[in-house]
Amino acid sequence: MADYAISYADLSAINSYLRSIDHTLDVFHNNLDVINGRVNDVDQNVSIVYDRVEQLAREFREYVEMQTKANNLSKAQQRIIQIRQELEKKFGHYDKVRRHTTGILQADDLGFIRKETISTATEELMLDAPGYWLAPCLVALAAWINDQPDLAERALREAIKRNDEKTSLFFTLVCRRADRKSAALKWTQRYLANQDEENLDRKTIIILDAFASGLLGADSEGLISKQMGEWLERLSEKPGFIENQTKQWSDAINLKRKPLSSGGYTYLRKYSKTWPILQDIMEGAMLHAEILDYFNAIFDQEASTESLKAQLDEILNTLVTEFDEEEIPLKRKEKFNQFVIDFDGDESLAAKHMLVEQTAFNQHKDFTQLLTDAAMKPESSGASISTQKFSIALSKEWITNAYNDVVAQNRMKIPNEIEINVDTFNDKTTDGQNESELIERFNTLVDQEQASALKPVVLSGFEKFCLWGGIIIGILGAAMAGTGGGLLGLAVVAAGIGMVINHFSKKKKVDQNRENIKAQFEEKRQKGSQIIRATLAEVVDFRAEFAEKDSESEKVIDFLEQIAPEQYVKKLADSSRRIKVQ
Amino acid sequence: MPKPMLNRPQTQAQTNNILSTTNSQPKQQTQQMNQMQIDRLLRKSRSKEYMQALHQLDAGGHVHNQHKVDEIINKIRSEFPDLELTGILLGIVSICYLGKPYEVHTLDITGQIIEHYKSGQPLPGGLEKARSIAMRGGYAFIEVYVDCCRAISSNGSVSVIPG
Repeated sequence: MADYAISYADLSAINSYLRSIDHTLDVFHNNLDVINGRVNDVDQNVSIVYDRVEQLAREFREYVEMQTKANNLSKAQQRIIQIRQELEKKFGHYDKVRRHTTGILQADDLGFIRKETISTATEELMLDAPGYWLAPCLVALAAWINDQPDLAERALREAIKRNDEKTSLFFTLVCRRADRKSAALKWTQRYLANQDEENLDRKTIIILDAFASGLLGADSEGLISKQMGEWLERLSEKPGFIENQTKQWSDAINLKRKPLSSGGYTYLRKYSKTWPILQDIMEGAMLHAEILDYFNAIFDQEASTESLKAQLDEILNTLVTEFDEEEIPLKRKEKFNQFVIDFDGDESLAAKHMLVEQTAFNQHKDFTQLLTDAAMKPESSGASISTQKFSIALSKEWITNAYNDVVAQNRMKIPNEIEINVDTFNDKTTDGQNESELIERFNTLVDQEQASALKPVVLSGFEKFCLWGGIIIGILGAAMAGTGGGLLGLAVVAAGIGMVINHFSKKKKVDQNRENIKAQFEEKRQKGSQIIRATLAEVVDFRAEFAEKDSESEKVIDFLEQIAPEQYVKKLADSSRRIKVQ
Repeated sequence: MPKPMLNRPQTQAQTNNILSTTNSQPKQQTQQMNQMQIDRLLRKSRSKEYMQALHQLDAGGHVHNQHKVDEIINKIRSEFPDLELTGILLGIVSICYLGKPYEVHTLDITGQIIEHYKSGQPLPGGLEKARSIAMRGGYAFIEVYVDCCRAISSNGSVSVIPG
């Protein structure tokens, strides 16, 4: 009944509503899309706004930076004027002294300025620059040129009182230019006495180089060598110093080791497990010739002093033109502000350049580091040949100790017994002299191995039985055939013959195998003996070659022993300037 | 077995060891002298007298004489008057010229014994490490210490081999 009622119900209204809802939903979706589109537009607009704000901020920062730089530049320009005024006011006369010193040195070189002119000019400057070390130096220099020893001495005393180190360096260099070597040497000693042996600066290193090259005269009174001796003595008293030196030298010496060439000792390489040790000690022994060549090359080389002379003049120039300690704070400020101006007000860049400027000439070394670097790393240390010679001479004791240790450490590894490993044969020799013993032992081993190899290669019991068994069976078969056995007898005969044939066939095979085995072992015996003999011969050669190469260490020690540092240093300025080494 | 050239009773060696006159000496030494100072002292070239004394180790019959051995040990001691060697120096090894089968001889400082060793016989008391260099290094003799060997050349110069 109910079903009937529904089948006739009018659903069109519901359908219409559903269509309407569907349409509304479509409209709603469309609206959502529109909203989405607008949100995207807003998002894009926000991004654009952000970009613009960022750009604005960047431009603002740039503007601020530019403005700051402009301000910095302006301030730096103002400051530099003030600083220079202050410098001029406080130390202007120093500049005058410097200019005069340079002028006098040049005038003296040229020789066309009247002595009176020099004298008048310098005395005035002395009054203008109280406290400045260069002023009395200038007076002393003028007095010296004018041949006024009393005045020169008085002025020198004052100069030394004001700045001993700089005065000593100044007169070292001036005397060097004037070729007054004896005086130059005394001033050098005075200058070096003012130095800290643990903290030598670039100037001192160049001065030592000049001394080593003989540019500062011959140390006939041992002034400089005494100074060096004092430095070394003080350094040696430091805990661990000598040990560290020996270690440094050992490392430097070992760096000259070269690998053994791949040729030679072909049997030992192949038939001795001791070879890696032998190779190592041979490389160690060959080091002696390398070191001797290295030292000989240094001591045979003639030194050129031209570039060194230029460096000395550069030091003199810097010394007379550089600012004094009192001026340093103002000069640093001046330099910084100059950098600010040069970099358009960029203070951070200026600060970086100040740092580079300060550290460039701030390389310090201790005296022994200078010696090691000069002797063993001339490429990186830039040391001259003279300094290399001088460094080796002064470091002789440490080099000798280190070298003796290197030699002994290599000798410690010398194997007393050298293994010989040929196939299954493993034995030892000390000097390669036990050939007959080894060959005998090898033969015994080969005999044992051959016997072991032959042992299983024999006829089996059945195969042995086949011979006599076959004959008996054959006879029995023949008898059977003879007594009317007929075919059966013949068959038994055939079986007997077959067994005999089998015996001889197997026997032949076994004999062949045994012959082959014997031949193989004979070959092993022959080849093995040959290898053992050849290896032993190489052991003899190796021991001889090692002894020869190792004995060259004596030449290195003799070489080092004959270097007398004092004699070397004293004779530096001799015409040959070479140390006698045989 | 080693060939005893001269042997003292163990108890005597312990009580009458000239290199350890008092038990407290090594401790005092540690306090007075650090390792670096000891190393520097032992790096110095050996004297001619010391070299001559040590050379007698292999000089045949007279080493049978305990008095001579005492003299040699006294000489070693007087070479380093500021140093107590007991506990530092184990002994001395050098090549033996008695000929085959003997290879090396040793001076055992603690036991005050001179002994000769054949090929293949191991050296006692940590001295074995110096055997090869004593035989083949070309040095006059090798001083064997706890932490190293010191190879002494015929001119008295010293080479140090750590380990």
